[in-house]
Amino acid sequence: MNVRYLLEKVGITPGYFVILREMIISDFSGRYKNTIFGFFWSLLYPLVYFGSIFLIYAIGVIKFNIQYYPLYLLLGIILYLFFIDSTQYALVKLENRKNIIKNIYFPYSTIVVSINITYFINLLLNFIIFFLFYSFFSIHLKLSSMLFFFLLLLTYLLITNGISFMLSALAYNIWDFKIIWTFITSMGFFIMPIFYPLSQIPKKYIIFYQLNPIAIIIQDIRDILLYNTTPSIVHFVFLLIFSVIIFLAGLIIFNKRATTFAEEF
Amino acid sequence: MDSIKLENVTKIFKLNHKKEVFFLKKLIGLLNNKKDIFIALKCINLHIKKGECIGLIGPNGCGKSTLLKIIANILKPTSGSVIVHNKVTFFSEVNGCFDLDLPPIRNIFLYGALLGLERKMLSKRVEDILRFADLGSFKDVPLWQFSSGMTIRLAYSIALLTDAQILVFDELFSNIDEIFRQKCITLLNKYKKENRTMIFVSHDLRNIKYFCDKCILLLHGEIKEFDETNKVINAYNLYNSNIV
Repeated sequence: MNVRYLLEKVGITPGYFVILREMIISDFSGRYKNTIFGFFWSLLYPLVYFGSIFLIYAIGVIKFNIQYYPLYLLLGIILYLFFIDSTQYALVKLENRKNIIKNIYFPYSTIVVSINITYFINLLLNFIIFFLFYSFFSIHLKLSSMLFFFLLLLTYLLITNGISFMLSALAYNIWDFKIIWTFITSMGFFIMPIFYPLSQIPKKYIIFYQLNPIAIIIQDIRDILLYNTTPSIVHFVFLLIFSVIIFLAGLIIFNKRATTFAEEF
Repeated sequence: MDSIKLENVTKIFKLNHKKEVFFLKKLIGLLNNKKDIFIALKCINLHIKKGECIGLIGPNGCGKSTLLKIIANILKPTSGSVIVHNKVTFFSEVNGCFDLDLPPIRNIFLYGALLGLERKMLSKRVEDILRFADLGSFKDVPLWQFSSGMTIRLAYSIALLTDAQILVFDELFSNIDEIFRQKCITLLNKYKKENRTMIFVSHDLRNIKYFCDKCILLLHGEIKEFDETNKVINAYNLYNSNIV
């Protein structure tokens, strides 16, 4: 049993990456095609969130004892917005590409992966803004921390991809689910420690946060970049294995469901 | 040698008579799986040899497009076996396959990739494609500004570059002008000489007569006739006159 066989088993055929590349280019160039400021809007988007919350923090409406709060906040926002956008637009794009699905046979999972990667590129561009802010604070990063940071981003992409697959499989042709998912992700922004610290959460509820992979990754990345604390190897390996399982489970569920996509109008 | 072999192929669709508005009702409907069914194809047995040009005719809703989509692997049969040697390119409502916000060049690469065409070849032939589609002066214009005929011309110009040995056409030449039609005919004649297998679905029997050596008459999901084109067209005309 070789790698190629295993890849084909989960629908990743030889032409997969060619289609994926074209879809990513198409998604990326199509996103802000009809706007004057183009992709700069995507850089501005998290800054609007950041500005609003930082304003109420600065005037004292909310008060937290967090070191480097502006960075803490911006990091939480750009990471969580990646999750919201990737999962929501994966559902929308699958619906938009319905005509292609009805007329051409190709691995439909490329539609979901391309949206996830498009927003991942967007996340990386947002990190340019973040590191620009970062340079004003004198935080010294270790090289090993950077490695962990990139690996954590990769696990984040895998988990987001896996969740997008599962949602797409469930929500294809059910528009209501897309609206419900918008509600859930909006609630997540307030329920998860995006703009407040984990220490604010009562102890009896902390278990829910420790079981939430998105919250864990966001917290790990904050620990690495802001407080120079790298996660333990065991914690990291566990996260990596978990993300691969979520990704593969999502892909398998999606492929199984996708066999009837073309006949659902 | 058979290029396409279908044995006892049946295709059943589950019908949604009414779009369920409520999420829970729809979800329960999906879980229950109790729906009305529509038998689109009944026990189809079909052997098509390499290099044959076959016409597929019949009234609306008789299963022509379903049969083509099963051959093109877009739809899976409910039962029966489908063996297709070689790659298939399916030509249909191709204008739906584009990203309307993007200009033709980006769409050429996207649609080409979906059809399994090599990027290198596409890059070399972008100008040829635009010239063939007569869209040279529209190369930077987003597709939403195109007429449906222009979009179809672009789609055909890309898809006709295919190296697939099996080509299936659903309603060939609908919505295109006479000049472009002639260009396509020349190219299709070339493919015929190259011994490629082609299947045409069309309500325009002139096209079927012109291209096809043999023809299939499909009625209510069943093959009623599979014979020489003229014979089958006569049978279809007889069927139509009886109905009218």
